Amino acid sequence: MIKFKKILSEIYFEDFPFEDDYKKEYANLGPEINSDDNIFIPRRTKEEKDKKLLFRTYRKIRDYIKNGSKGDLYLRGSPIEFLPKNLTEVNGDLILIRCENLKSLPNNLTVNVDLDLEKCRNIISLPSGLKVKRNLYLTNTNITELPLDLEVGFNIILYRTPIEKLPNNLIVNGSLNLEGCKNITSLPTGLKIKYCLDLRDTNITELPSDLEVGGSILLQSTPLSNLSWYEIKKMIPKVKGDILL
Amino acid sequence: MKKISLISEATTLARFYLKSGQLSQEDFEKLKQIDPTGPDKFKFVDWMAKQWINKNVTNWDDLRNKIEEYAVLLDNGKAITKNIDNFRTFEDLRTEVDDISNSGANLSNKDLESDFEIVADNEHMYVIAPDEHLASRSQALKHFSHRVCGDGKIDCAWCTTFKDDSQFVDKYFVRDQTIYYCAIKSDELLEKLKEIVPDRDDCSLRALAILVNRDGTYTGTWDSTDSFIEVDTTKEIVNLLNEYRKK
Repeated sequence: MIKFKKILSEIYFEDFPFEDDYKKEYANLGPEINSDDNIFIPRRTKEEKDKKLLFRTYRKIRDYIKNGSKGDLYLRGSPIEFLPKNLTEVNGDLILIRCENLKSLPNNLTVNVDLDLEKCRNIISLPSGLKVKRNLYLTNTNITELPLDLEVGFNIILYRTPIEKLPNNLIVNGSLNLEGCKNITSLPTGLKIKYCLDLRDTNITELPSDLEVGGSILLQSTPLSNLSWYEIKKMIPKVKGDILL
Repeated sequence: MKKISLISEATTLARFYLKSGQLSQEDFEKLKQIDPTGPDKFKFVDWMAKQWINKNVTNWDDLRNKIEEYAVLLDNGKAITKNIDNFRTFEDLRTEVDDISNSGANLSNKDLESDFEIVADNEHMYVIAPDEHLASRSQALKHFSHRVCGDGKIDCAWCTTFKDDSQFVDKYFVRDQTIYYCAIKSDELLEKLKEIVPDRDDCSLRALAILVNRDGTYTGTWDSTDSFIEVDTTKEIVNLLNEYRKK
């Protein structure tokens, strides 16, 4: 166990003696004591299972890096707390849905397709130098702001996050979804969105006059939905699609 | 890459079938219930509704099991067809899911194969709780296989015993369930079980898989043909098996 912890602290996984440690530490955990009346009970503690799954995850990441970071990396539901520093590029999707212990991503990470962090509730910020070539999913994370140098190729999904503000002059090459983001009350200046802007169920009270949206803007269940279509249109003349109130 | 829809409502097609009388309200509710993507998304309801009204699938257990298996493969990046709408029929989906499930590496690791616990073993039953996929699979092939395949071989119908480990990992680790496999050895116990589930035949009840959640509640039971048995009935089955464990 000491070796395991030591290596974890180093964050790199190349020299991890997986198979030996696995056999010693996690395989054959031994019999459990049965309840007298009911044998159909939950067995193995959550911690024991998490350790096993963690081990599988580390092995998967190590092999992925070893094999040249080709294709997708799916780590859904893993109890992993961090990703190794030497994971700098994922040449496919990086799926981390429900990695509820995950606290951070490595700096300067490039994901060549989608990055999905849905329900990673310990994620409160993104690292510097993050590049996502297609979609960035942050649904139900605890993210409060986006880094200034973030690059996203298509959609940014911030559905039901406590995001408070967006960077000035943010350019979104797809759609921006802020539905259910109750902490956001205003948008930054210089915001340009190629397709849709979803602001439903937010507390947005004003929109910047220079806001550019190539598609529709959705404003249902916001303080602005009390205004008329004409009033909104006057406020944001650079919105090309429908204004849905 | 995931399909993203920002403004379109899920279940649009299913609602259309409902309105036009092609789909009953009861079936619509059932489709929503078995959609593993849940009420936030209902990603599969429209497709399932189409298959159901066209009678491409007529058995709820078949639909529930395969759609759940497909969702797990999709979540783990193993599905080849990433968009369910690209499956023309239910049979196409089933073929892909089964092919992937049977395509795992032929791993053999004696340590992992023995990573299970024998919970009960007497003249009436043999019950194990596997802690590793390889143990789950090897034990299932030895003791819990009752399904006759096309080539005449016998295998196990439960998804947690498939060659590919995705389904086991999903149930055991991600959903944190305890999996029990029960082989019913005595005719006496089999007869008692038939009193609880009279609609199942002897072969179906010779092997049962029971899933228990972390809080001690039951997800349900699957018989040897992978047909689902509801939670209330599961409680009765559990009581009976507990009683026979002491005999």
